[in-house]
Amino acid sequence: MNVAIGQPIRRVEDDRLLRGQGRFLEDVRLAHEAQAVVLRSPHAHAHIRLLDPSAARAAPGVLAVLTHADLAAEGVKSLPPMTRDPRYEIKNSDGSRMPEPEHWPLAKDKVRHVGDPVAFVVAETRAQALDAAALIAVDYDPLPAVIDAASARAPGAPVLHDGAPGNRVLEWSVGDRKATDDAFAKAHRVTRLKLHNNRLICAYLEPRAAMASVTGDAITLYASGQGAHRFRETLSFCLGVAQDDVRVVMGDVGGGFGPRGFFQPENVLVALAARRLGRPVRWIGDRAESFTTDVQARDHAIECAVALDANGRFLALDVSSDWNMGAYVPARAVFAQIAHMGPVMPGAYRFPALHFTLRGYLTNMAPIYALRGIGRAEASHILERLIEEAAHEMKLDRVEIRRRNLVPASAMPYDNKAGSTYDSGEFEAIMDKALDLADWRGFGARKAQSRARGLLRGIGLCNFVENAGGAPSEFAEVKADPARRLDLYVGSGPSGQGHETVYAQVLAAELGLPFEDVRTHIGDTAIVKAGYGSAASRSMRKAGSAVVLGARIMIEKGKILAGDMMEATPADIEYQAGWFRVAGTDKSVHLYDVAAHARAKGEELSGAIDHKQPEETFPNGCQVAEVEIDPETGKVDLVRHSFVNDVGRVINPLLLDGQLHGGVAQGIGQAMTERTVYDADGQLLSGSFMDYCIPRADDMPFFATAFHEVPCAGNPLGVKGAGEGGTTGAPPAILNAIIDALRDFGATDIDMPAAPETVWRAMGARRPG
Amino acid sequence: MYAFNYHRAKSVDEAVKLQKSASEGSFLAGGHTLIPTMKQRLAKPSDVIDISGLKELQGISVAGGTVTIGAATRHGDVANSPEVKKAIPALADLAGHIGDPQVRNRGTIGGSLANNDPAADYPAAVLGLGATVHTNKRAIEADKYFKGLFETALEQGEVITKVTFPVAEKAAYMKFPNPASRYALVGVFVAKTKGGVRVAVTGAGPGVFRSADMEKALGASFEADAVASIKVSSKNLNSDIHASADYRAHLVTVMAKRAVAKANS
Repeated sequence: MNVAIGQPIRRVEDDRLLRGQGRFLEDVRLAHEAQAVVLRSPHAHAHIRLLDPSAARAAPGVLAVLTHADLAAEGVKSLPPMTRDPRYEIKNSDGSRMPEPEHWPLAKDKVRHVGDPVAFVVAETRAQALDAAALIAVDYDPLPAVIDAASARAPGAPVLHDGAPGNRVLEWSVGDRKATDDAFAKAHRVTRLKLHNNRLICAYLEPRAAMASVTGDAITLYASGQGAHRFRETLSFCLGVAQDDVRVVMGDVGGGFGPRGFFQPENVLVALAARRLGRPVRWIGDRAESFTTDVQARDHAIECAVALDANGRFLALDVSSDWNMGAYVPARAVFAQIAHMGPVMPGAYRFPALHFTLRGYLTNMAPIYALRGIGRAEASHILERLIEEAAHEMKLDRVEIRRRNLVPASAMPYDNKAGSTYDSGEFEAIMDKALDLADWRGFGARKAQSRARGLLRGIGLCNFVENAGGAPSEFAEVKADPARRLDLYVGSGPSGQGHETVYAQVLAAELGLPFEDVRTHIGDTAIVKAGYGSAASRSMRKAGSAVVLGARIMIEKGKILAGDMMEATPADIEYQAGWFRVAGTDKSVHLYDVAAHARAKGEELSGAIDHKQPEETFPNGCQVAEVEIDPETGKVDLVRHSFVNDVGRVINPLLLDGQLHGGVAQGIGQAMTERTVYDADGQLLSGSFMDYCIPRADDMPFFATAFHEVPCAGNPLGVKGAGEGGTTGAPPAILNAIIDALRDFGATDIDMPAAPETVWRAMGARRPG
Repeated sequence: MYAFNYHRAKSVDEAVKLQKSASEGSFLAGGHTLIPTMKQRLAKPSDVIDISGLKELQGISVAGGTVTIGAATRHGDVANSPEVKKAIPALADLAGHIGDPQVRNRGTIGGSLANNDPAADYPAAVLGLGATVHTNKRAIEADKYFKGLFETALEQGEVITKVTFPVAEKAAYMKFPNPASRYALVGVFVAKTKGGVRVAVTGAGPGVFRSADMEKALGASFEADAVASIKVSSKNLNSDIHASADYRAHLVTVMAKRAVAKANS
């Protein structure tokens, strides 16, 4: 099949995955495996006075019980927060470095959240390991728990880490304080809000797991993550071994969304245990462990304000956020939060002045990490809620106030005063397209129909700009095989998105060869030479670009080889659709014959590149949500959702729609159903799917999506990134729709998630019944 | 899960004997509560006695104004039974909205009633219709069967064999599902029966209960308006991360009103 960029090719992965032939971690079986379980802290905060594993070590079938003492004896290093790593370094605004709290794979003297690992038990069977874990004697001396940023910063608060006084990790600002204050002082109107961007549990479908085998010095880690090479680097760091001695293998990954990029402590433990025992060690986490010990997301207590002139034009934006970071600082979490929140704080709008401060605090909860839309989802929540209330207070039309303040396409490239220069963007055209797609004008008639059925109806919108970033370089290598096959090796792999399909599509389109010729190799450091992984909507942008450039390098090499074969100079050779041709003649050789020629000479017809592409791109869009609310119960039904997106050039509209739908679905979860609840003692109350509500298919409307392609000049494919617009734009659009429906009741704000009782209470004294 | 002995009983009598001789024997019907609890190591039965396949516990029949349902009858079978749909459509409707298709294809009425989860649906139908729970030892009226949170009148060695429901003149069930678990946050079953109007509430309190105020009002006028202004006290209702007692009390009124409207439609 000949393919082109922009064609809706169906996923090649699905046949395998839908027939149960995927190879997830549970499917990996190694000979002579030993089974491991983790003994975890039942306390949110406690000193460990005594830890005695002797009875467990003597229990039937037990092969090893590891505690922190074993880690120390083997020189294992704490998991690195990487705030001082030159690649991700960020300093506090006063120039100081951030504290880097230790994060041991097994607790040292102290536990800091429920589920903190305390001991690792390895036995012949999982049941024996569980039985033995129950025999470990641990004497905890409980300490008071800190469960939000406000109590973490309070004088006299219990301190989690000695190295982080006041539990503070960071204080970072961007913008002009004085200009912002001056603008507020002369403003015609100031609108203020206090918001909570709710803590989320990622809940990917495949629970965490890890396996390792060791032969001599060679360690093989079977892991579930978002980049094999990153895990190799961290494991070699923690164990103090050479990267060449570590191989990381990732098969199919059942959902990533960002949190799977975190190098989990159990990766170290399986490797250590396998090395000690000389046999493979397998740890498969269960769902309860996922809830308490997966890294979580968001959790910002926000104070924000917008200053406006008499015409509703924005004069300034002032935002501060206290970030509840949980008990530890996972690698790159601070970098991701700051890099994706500050620089897009003004979104699609012009603010002559702005200021944003982020303060991060440690608490006795699961650590926070990047989740799909990190930073940008918080920024759009702040902006679009502020704008909505400013319009209401000034009695301005909600669309008109946005129109007056959008950055015009003519202003591109645009310096947003928060550290970003937008390369392109047609925000007003996109908003208008979304309003048409949503039939904004026809809303009144639909509202009347709802009213006739006793229901409230509201509509809301959100314009957003996000920044797709991530580590600068990504690797790809293309090899032509004389057996008429293209082998493609890429450093960034999937966790369900369909990378195999789109990489092959990009390569086949670039070379003009059949799609079926491509075999994509991902996720094994022994097979793929380098890589970083999926994060920050970067795979198509960076790995896709590397695929294109790798193919071009291969073609240039092919021209030399073809020149050999046809006795022509490479400069006279053209390449098209599989054929090298001497220009202006009928002399030609096929790429696969050139590959055979290369092979005969002991060479390969291949092209590899570790492509460095540091610039960010700015995917943007507009979402319009429409809700119906049962006024007697507060139950919200999202009845329509429309989404126009500029992801740059569209590679595969079918898979892109999947990304958009999935992102909006996750945004619906944050806006309407997902509530993470810890009690005052730091116990997780929403610790199962019976209590933590992931939205279901029947919570979704049929989505209307459209694309508005404004290609990005910064990469060969012209793409901007598609993974995170859904989660960035959906929550504020939904909240604005709910508040619109509740205006008659005097509602001016609503907490996420907008669960039925929350909505019912927001109706206040005027609610029915 | 801990190791246990599995038995497939050939009769109710044998099941009871097996349980008696076990150090800790649990009956297994649909397994929807027992199995997850065992998997989490929160239950450690020495012996699991499977009664789900017993012929004497199966089947649905309607005769003389009574619907009889064997204890091991699956929710899906009740939901899809033409006899139940005709005799007590509200009962088929309730069964058809328990959990999801997987749950309805495994879960049994006897298992649900023996477990008596405070948010389960079947207790509302049994209490609301004034049904009778039959065991291997006796017949227990609904009003004497439910004893609060996961507690019932069942004694050690007592197995539910069937449930008999008197056909009501009118009946309906309305539930407001917990968005996460889809159990009833509040469910109200209303029935106009020969013995008077009955209103049973599940999900809201520590166990299914009747509302005397609502029954009285509906006895005078079986119309939605009759209960629209009756407030249930939130004093003994559940309050948790999903809903406050006040909100649950409010939903009882709303669901009762809607159930009456549905019964009249």
